[in-house]
Amino acid sequence: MIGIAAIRSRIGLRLALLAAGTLFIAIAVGGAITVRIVESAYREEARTRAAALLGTLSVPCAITVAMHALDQLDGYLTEVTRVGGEHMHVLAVAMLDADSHVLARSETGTFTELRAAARAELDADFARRAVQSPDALWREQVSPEGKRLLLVSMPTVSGLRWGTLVAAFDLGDLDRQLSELKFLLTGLALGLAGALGLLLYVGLSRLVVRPVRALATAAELIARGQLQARTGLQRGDELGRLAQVFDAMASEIELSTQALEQKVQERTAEVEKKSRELADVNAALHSANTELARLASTDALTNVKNRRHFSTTIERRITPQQTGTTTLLMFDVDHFKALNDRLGHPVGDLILRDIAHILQVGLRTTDTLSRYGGEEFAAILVDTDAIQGLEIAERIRSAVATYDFDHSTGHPVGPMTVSVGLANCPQDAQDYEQLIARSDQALYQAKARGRNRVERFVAATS
Amino acid sequence: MPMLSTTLPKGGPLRRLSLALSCSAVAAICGCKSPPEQGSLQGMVPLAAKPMETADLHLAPGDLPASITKLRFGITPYLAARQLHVQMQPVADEVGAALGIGIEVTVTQTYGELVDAMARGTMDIALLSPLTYVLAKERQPDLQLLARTMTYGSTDYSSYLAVRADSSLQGLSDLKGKRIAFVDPLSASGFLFPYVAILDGGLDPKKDFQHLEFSGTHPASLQAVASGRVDAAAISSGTLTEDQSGASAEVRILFKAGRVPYDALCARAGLSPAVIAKLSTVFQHIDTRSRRGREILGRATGISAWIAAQDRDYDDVRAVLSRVRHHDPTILPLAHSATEAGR
Repeated sequence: MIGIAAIRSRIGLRLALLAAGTLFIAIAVGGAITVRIVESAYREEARTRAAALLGTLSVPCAITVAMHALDQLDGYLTEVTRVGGEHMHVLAVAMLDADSHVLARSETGTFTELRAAARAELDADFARRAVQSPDALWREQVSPEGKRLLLVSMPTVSGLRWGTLVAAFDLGDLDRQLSELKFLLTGLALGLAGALGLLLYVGLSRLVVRPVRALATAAELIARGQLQARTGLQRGDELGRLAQVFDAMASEIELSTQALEQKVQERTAEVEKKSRELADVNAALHSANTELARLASTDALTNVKNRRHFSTTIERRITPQQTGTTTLLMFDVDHFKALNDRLGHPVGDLILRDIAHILQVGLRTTDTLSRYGGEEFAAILVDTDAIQGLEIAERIRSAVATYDFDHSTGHPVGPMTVSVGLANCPQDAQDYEQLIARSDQALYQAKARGRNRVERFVAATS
Repeated sequence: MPMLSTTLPKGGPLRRLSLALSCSAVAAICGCKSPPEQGSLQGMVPLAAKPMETADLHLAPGDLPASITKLRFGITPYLAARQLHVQMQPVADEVGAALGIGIEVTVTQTYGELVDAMARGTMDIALLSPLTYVLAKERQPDLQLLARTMTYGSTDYSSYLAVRADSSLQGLSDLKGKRIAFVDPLSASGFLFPYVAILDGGLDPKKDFQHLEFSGTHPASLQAVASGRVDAAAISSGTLTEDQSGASAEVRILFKAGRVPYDALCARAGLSPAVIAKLSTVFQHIDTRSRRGREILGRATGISAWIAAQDRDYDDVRAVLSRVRHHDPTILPLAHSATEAGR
């Protein structure tokens, strides 16, 4: 399986195997045909030589038979078999008369004894046909021991037909030669095919596969982003041209990409700058907004929250869902108008500023102080009940009353005081309108009771 | 390359298909037509012979004129008469038995006598030596050839010029000025063929020999050269084979003068075709292949068989004869009177 995968992935191997396989088959087929032809030729050659040998014996043997010198004939045939056995693989020769009787045979012994024995060995059918035919006959057969034999007959003629020679030849050598030829051809086929395959594989590797791999590698690197990858091939053939064109293309891509990147960088820098500018603008805008919001909710003079902010806050704080306790303090600067008339508005502003400051200091960070009117201030005390609120209010009143305004303003202001009205939700009111109204009432009460005092709302009993 | 790169992606099924095709092609080649197991080889048998027909050989009434009660069979004196009688009588008896008529064997005194007898019609069948046949045929063109003899299994024999084994003679030209023995002017192998060979060797037999003799018989010729009485002798190959004296071991062959066909068996003109046919057939049936044949022919004659013959089988002898005549018209002139005894 691994082998098949390897073959599938390599052109060189496939081509080499295809070529080698084809060559092997071609040689094998050609070889098989050749062997067939050669085999035919060898066999025919064997027959012709056998017949030629017997032909040369024909006349002398005929004469010997004519003279009825059969002992001599025995001698001839034995000698022929001995000598012929070495070179022509003669196994046995016999002389037959017209009735297929053996007159003489290629072994020692009197022919009379041999005649009976020999008749059994010679192929009776072949002998019969041989003595009847005027031509030389041949037959291939296998002996009982498994030897392949060629039987050839030759009429012995000298004037008359004196008899028929019959000989048996061993074909084993022929078979051996043919086997050798087959092995040689097979070896040749394998060798040549193998050599061709190897040559082709190596040649393709060098000429085709390597440059293609180089191209693939370079392409892959470029695909992964390494734009400086090149094949580096310098060849004159088609693949070389492809590689060079590829390299040129890669260089072009690299340059373009670099140019693009540069542009992108520039644009990015620009964008970043613009972005920063935008951020700055945003920030500026944001701070401007914040400032605006602050300004929108801040009293310019005293720097405390303004009335609008107060309204928004109290509405948000005092809702039906609100479960906490909230105390509202209303401050009013006592005799402020008279001060303004006496010392002028600028001093009055200063007074207001100081008072706002004192109030701010006296409150906690969670409390919201706002300028409610010209000389009025409101403070929302969250999570504070009335008692706590009273304490804080009293402290503030005291702080204002003891403050040295002359020193801070540089004018003969004299003592300033505030009046404070206090109401608590839920103790004194249920909603913010009620809370404002009742703390206002409480303030009025404080004013009515002589100013410079803190008064809590008290519900009028009628 | 482009073709391969388009087939590769489909390598799987295509490759399998082509492999399958190739395998089946190979299998087909290997498995198909197995080689033949037997057959015949044409044209490889030397001296292929024509088979012989058998027929009823008994002479029918009317084959011969009623006056003829026996056939006379004449033989040239190539051996002693008594020997020849012994050898050929069994043959005559066999032939007679097959034909149903008596055969009388006669050995003539001379070759010429037999030829004359045949010409005159006083001999019916004759076994003639090759040269004698050629001369007889010249004299009597109607002479009918029945068969030719096969001796020692061969249809022809060789003519040699033999010298002593220790002789310094190497070639024909060395014979100049030497002593030579021939057999007989009527001997093809013992005179005619060697004569022409000497002519071809650049010598003139009439002039270039110190001494020329005719020894009379082949064995005598062999003895002449073996003993050293002559330097060279013309003999037949059979002489060497048959030699019992040991002289054949003391000689070697200087030159082979040619191949000569064995004796011709002929019948006189005037016998009917039926008789001729039957005579041919019966003689051609006698051969040493069968035991009966071996009994009839015996071993002494060396005759193996009689085989079918044509007049042209003896044309080589005719050719040599005409060359000899051309060189010396006095030798064996045309219409040579065969009454002259061979020296």
